[in-house]
Parts: sequence; C-alpha cells; structure tokens
Amino acid sequence: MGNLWSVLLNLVIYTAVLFVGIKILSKVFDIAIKKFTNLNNNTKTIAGIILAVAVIAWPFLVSSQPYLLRTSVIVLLYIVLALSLNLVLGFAGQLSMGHSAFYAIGAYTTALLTVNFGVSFWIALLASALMAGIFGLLLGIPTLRLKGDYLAITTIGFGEILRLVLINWTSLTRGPAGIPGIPSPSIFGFVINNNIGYFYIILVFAFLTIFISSRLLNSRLGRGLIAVRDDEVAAEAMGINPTYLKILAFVLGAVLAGIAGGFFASFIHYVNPDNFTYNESVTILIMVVLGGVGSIPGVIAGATVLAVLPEALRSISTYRYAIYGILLILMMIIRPQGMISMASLKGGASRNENTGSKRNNKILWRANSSK
Amino acid sequence: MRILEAKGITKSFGGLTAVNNVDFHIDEGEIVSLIGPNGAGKTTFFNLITGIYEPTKGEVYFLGEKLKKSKPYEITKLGIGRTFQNIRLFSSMTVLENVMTGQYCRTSTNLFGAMIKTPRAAKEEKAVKEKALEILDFLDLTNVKDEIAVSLPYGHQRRVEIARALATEPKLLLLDEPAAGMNTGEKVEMTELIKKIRDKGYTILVIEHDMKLVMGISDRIVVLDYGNKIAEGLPEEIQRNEKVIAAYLGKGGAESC
Repeated sequence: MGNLWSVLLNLVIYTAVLFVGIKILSKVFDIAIKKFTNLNNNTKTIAGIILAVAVIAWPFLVSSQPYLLRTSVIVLLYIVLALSLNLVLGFAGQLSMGHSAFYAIGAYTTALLTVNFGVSFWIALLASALMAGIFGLLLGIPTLRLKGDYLAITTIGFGEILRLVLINWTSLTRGPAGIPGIPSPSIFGFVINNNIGYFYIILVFAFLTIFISSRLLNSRLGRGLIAVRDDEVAAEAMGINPTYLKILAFVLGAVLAGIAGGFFASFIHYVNPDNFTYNESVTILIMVVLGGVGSIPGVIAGATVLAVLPEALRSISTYRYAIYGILLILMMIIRPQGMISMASLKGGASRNENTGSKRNNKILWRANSSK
Repeated sequence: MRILEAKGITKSFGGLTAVNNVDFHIDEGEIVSLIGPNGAGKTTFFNLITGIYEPTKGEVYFLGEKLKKSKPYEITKLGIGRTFQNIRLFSSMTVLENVMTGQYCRTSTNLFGAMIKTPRAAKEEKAVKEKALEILDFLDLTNVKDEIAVSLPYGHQRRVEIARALATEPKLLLLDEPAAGMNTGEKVEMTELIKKIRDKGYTILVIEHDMKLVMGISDRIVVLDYGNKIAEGLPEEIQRNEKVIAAYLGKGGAESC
C-alpha cells in the first residue's frame, strides 16, 4: 500500500511540475514570438546566422559526448518526419494517422537496394523518395475524398497492412528478423561511418524540408492548401481544386517521410517492422500537434522536445510513459493550439487569445462538421 | 452584352419540381435581384445557373456558351464569383491573404516554380499582392489588411468576402444574401457598396430577403414562388405587383393592401 501512495504522490508532483512548466514555457514562447516579430530584418538575419553557425558547429561542441550527438541526429530525423506530416495535417488539414508507413517504405527500399543489390546509398535514397511518393499517390487518390475520421481510419489501416506485409513477406523482407547490415553512405569515396557525418547529412535534409515547407506555405499553392484546410467549400469558390492540392501535399509529405526512412535505415544499419508501428505514427502526429499544427517553427520545437524527452527522462524511466501522457493531457487543456501556433506567428493570438486556441484546436475535428 | 441567359430551365427532384420553366437573363453592368419566399426555389435556381446542378429541361448560357455541369472551382474559373450566405472566410488568414487566395484560379505557379522561386513565379506573386491591395483599397479595407479576417466585425467580414470574390476576376458576381444579419446602418453601407462595385463595371446578381436593400439597388427584380417565375420588372413594378404581394403576405394580405 505504501508503495502505491508513493507512486501516486510522485505522479501528482510530476503533474504539478509539468503544469507549471507548460505555463511558464507558454509565456516564454508568447513573449519570444512577440519580441522576434518586432525585430527588424537585419537583426533577424543576424539571429538566423548565429543560429545556423551554432547548429553547424554543434557536432564539435558535443564531440566528447557521443550519446548527445546521436540524440541530436534523432532529433533532426524527427524534425524531417514531423514537418513532412505537417504538410498533410498542418497545411492541407488532412488527418493522416499512417505516416510511419511512408517512413517504413523509405527505410525498406533503401535497406533492400543497398543490401541485396549493392546500390549506392544516394541512389537508394532517391528510390526511397520515389517509392514513398508512388505509394502516397496510390493511397491519396482514393482516400483523400474521405474526410476527418474516415481518412484517419483508412490511413491507420494502410499503416497496419504495410507493417503486416513487412512481417509476412519473409522471402523479401526477412519478416520480423529484419534486414541487418545496411551499409553506411559514402561521399566521393569517403565512407561516412561516424555520427558527425550522419549529423550533417540529416541536417541538410532537415534544412531542405524546412525550405520546402516555407516556400510552399508562402506561395500560391500554400495559400490554396490553407484555404482548403480552413474551409473547403469557400476554397472551391476561389477556383481551387481541393482534391488536387490535397494529393499534392500528401505525396510531398510521403516523399519527405520516405527520405527520412532511407536515412534511418542507413543510420541504424538495421530495419525491422517494429520500428514502424502505429505508435510511431502517433508520436509524429503528437509532435505536430504539440508544437502547433501548421506552424513550421512550432513543429520543429515539438519534434525537438518530444524526441529529447524520452532520453531526458531515462533517470525516472518507470514514469516515462505516465509523464508523456500527463504532458499531452495538460497541453491540450492549457495550450491546445500548440506551443508556437500559426495564429500567434501572425500576431493574431496576442490580440484574440480565445479564437486562436479554439480555431486551432478545431483543425483536427473540423473535417467532421464540414460537409 | 448578355452575361447569362437561362432558357426555360426546369429542375425536378423525383416528383418535386423545384424550378419550373424559368426564363432568366442578366446583361453586362446590371444589378438583378432574385427574391422569393422561403422554399421558392432560389437556391436551386442559383445552383442551376452556376452549373452545380444540371437542368432537367432547358439550357443555361454563360457568355454565349452553353453551361455544362461542373465543379464549383471550374465555375469560378469560368468567371462566376460568389459570396456565401453564412460568411465563409479562411479563418487562419489575414484579410490580405484571404483576398490573395481569391486569385488562385487566375495564377499558374506550380510546385516547381514555388520551390525555386523562378522569376515568373516571383513576378506573379508580386502582381497577386498588388492586385489584392488594389481591391482592398477599393473596398476601404486597407487599414485592416493585416488583421486576421475572422477577428473583424461582421460588416467588415462581409466586405472581405466580396473583396475575395472580386479577386477571382468574375464576369458575374453572385451575392448570396449580402445583408443577412446586418443592422440598418450596415445595410445602408452595403447598398452603397454594391452600387459602387456595379459602377466599376461588374455585373451582379443578388439573392436577398431584405426588401429595402433589393428595392434600393436593383435594376431589375425577378420573383420566384414555388419554382415558378411569378414576376419580373423594375423595383416599382414589383412593389405593386399583386402576385408578389400575395406570395409574400398571403391572399388576405393582398386584399387588405
């Protein structure tokens, strides 16, 4: 009995700590966003350069701690994954719950091509992107006519089917045993076999993903996507073909997830179906939602926090999942729009906090109510 | 120039004839209002002339071409812009972005252009913004251009919706109950605004319940009742038309008038 009480007491303490933590972080983010948007362009550029230099120098700063460097690679990997889902969920407003399927397709394509056929990593990576894109298109064309819950269910189904295929198609994938011995990539004859090299490869892809996302968002197509997300009927009245744009976002998201998968395979040197479960899809989804659906800095923040959190909580690993759960519940109560929401970036949240949170909270469920 | 012409259009849903043998036309630069009691078939008629429904009988011509059954986005591209009865602005966008989105169908930057930011794409983007600012200026919305559109007062939101519809470069502008939910002052403003838009050369079809607004702006009024066109003419004529009074107030009302 005494044990039970101490567990409960601990949970209460963690809840309180998280509650205060989220409250403080929310304030910090709000102030930071306000301060940052008020800066002039020169200061912004300088801040950007300092940040870029810091990120590039990072592997050398932490070179004495391989564990930290490895975690950094994982963080960047999740940034790519979360941003790729953000294209679908955040921009097009489509709730896809099977994102890890594209990640898996990418990983297995690279694994099979490099191990069985000795194809170079870079070509395999390209094939991964292509393969994931093709599957995205094949899945997107029929399913993107569905909305909200129905799309979520079909994408969950797709993810599960793919996982089962990976387990049962033993002649190709070696089933649950997985594919070991995936070689390291090489550039101009130099084999990249340390984490510093991997860090820079994934950094380039993370940068590419951020670049693609922001260019897309600030273009005609991005406006079209946000219009579809906000109100599909009105979007159609603007001459926007919603199906086309949704498929575009879906395929682009799949391609980026496929690249992340290809990188993952080569980074871990081993793939197996357990890496690509429904849980993985949900983790990516949570990163997007916690960070702020549709907001690029938000999603980056969300991916970073949730990729680091499991590592940071190792010392109290018994409570890891409990803390994870509590964090989600508290976030949804205190700050449903995410840490750095799209509205706050536009200065809307400071003016009207209520509509900001309600609106963004609704994104996931909007599809239910709209016709 | 004849913008839109409907010849003897009929639409039946099973046994129910929602629109029955209606002739209708609208010429360039005209403001025509479509009125009728609830259930008169206004919405069905609206959907027929925009190609969302295909008429059971009869034909619709838009700019001299026969209108086929099409998707709403194809209709917009053809040149029919519209607003909604219940305001449907893009809730996460600013006023300017809403209006810029309106030009989606008049622009052509593809994914490649957006990624690389080709000179053509950059030029187009600049033109889109300039055009949007011009429209905002025309509708006196410049000072709120960076506000989130849905945070504006109701009357402003209506105007943003009209601005957005104008951004689609319509040959025919359809306003679906533009004065719904407005107070008297706002209705007067709306009347002025619609006239101002017409004076810029737009052709406007208004569906509206508010008689004061309809009488104030229309060049011509068409009245529907139970799917039939029961009257058409100048506002003064419609006001005196016995059939119209009967349809709106009932037979007894007509007698006591």
